[in-house]
Amino acid sequence: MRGSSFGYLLREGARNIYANRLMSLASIGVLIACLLLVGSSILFTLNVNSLVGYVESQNEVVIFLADGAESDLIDDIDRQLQAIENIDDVVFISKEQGLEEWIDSMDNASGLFDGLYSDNILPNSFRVKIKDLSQIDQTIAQIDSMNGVDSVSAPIEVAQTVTSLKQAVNTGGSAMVLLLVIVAAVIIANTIKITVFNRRKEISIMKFVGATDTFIRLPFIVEGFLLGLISAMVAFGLLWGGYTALLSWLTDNTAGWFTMAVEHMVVFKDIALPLFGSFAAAGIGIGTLGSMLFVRKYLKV
Amino acid sequence: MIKFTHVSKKYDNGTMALNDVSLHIDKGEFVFIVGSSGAGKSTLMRLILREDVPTSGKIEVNGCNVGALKRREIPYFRRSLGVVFQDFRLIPNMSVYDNVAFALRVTNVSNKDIRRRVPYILSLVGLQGKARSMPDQISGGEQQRVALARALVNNPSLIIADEPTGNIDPELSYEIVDLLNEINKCGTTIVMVTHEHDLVSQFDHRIVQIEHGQVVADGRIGGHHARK
Repeated sequence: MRGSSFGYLLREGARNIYANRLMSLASIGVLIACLLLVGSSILFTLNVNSLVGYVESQNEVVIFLADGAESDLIDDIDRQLQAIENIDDVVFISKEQGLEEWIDSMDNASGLFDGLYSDNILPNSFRVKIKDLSQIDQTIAQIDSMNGVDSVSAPIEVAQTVTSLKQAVNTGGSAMVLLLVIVAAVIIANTIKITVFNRRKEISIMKFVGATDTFIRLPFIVEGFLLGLISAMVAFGLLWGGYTALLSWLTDNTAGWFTMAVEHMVVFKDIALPLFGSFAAAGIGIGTLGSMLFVRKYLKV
Repeated sequence: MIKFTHVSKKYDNGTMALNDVSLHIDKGEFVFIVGSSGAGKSTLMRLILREDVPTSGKIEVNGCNVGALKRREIPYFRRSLGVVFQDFRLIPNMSVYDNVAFALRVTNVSNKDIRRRVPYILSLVGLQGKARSMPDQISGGEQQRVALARALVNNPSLIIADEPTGNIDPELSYEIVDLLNEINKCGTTIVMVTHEHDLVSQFDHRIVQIEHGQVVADGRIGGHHARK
């Protein structure tokens, strides 16, 4: 194929979008709607995940040491705790610190407990954070077995709730995305089919003038590519605008703990690039592949 | 030019469209193919154009065994023929000029040659003033002349016309056939399918009559009745 022919076919593909603008508009609309649906459900899943992650990071496990543990043993336990993979943020709270914190938390009644300064009933302790709550049982067992550890207080129930919530969100989110992708694929396939069907006459004319299959197909592929790209860009822009607007509305109109949750929502910019990448890939892939597949059907004249 | 040797075509639904047809058309001939609808004329055309393959027998067009063509060879074979249909088959969203140029673009002709050749062909069919018009802005007769220009532009040695006058006014029909006649005088073989006997009788050309899938008469107007 000579260069001028190739250029002609590219131009022809672009021209066809305008020439069949109603159908192009329909295809772009369908593609945008599908990408928006899939994109929103991805955003939703990511956000719930991020919120659950935030809750997860707020956990605290307190390790009470046995009475009379010497500083050597305390250092040893500290080292062992640091060595555990699933533990973050190891903080040592001595008997005295612990008492002060406790008395401080009593506010006005703190005077009642002054006597405890001379006879401190609180043990030495460590406060640690668990990285992965689903592994909390094993980690606690590990700590419990250490020499010099008296008892461990951990938010086991919270851990279980968070873990199962996370699982549910992940499975539910993936299932939703998958379902939407399938629905989108079916709708898009039909739209492309109609587009090609509308122009079967044109295709048959091309065949009679002696056009090769490649020659007939190329403008359709260019067309599919461009339609996919346009849809991806529009869908991405809409999602960006919509999400940013929603986020700022939530920031302005929420109170209490929910504000904190909003602060931990995913920032669009962080996921913009991969999201646009997959949008473009999906749009272009569907457009190109779809045209290739369905034009083939009408090539057999 | 065209040679049918004991060609039969049976469709999947059991219809015997052509039954042992042998036909020979020489280079430079002008042949009318007549017959009532359902007689097998369309099937004959479809076989020549390699839209379909015969159930049995052999078809040669331009020295090429049409039935044995590979799929990827078909486009190159079709470029050696010009085809005109009853329904014109112009691309509706392309101008007259582009419709004709299209046949050249398909065959990898350079832009320079396209710019030279298309206006020439359009003037040949008397449409030089309509190059920028769209197909729906011109009359049926003019549309058919565009289709004819498209068939001619590749300089084919054979033109197949399937009921080219079926969709246009009788007074314009004569013009179209006359145009084909002129083309024939330059050495191009013409095969025209029609059922308009009045039109056929105005020209002194070979007439092949097909009925029930068989050639029942073959000759000129003068000898036509004699052979029947």
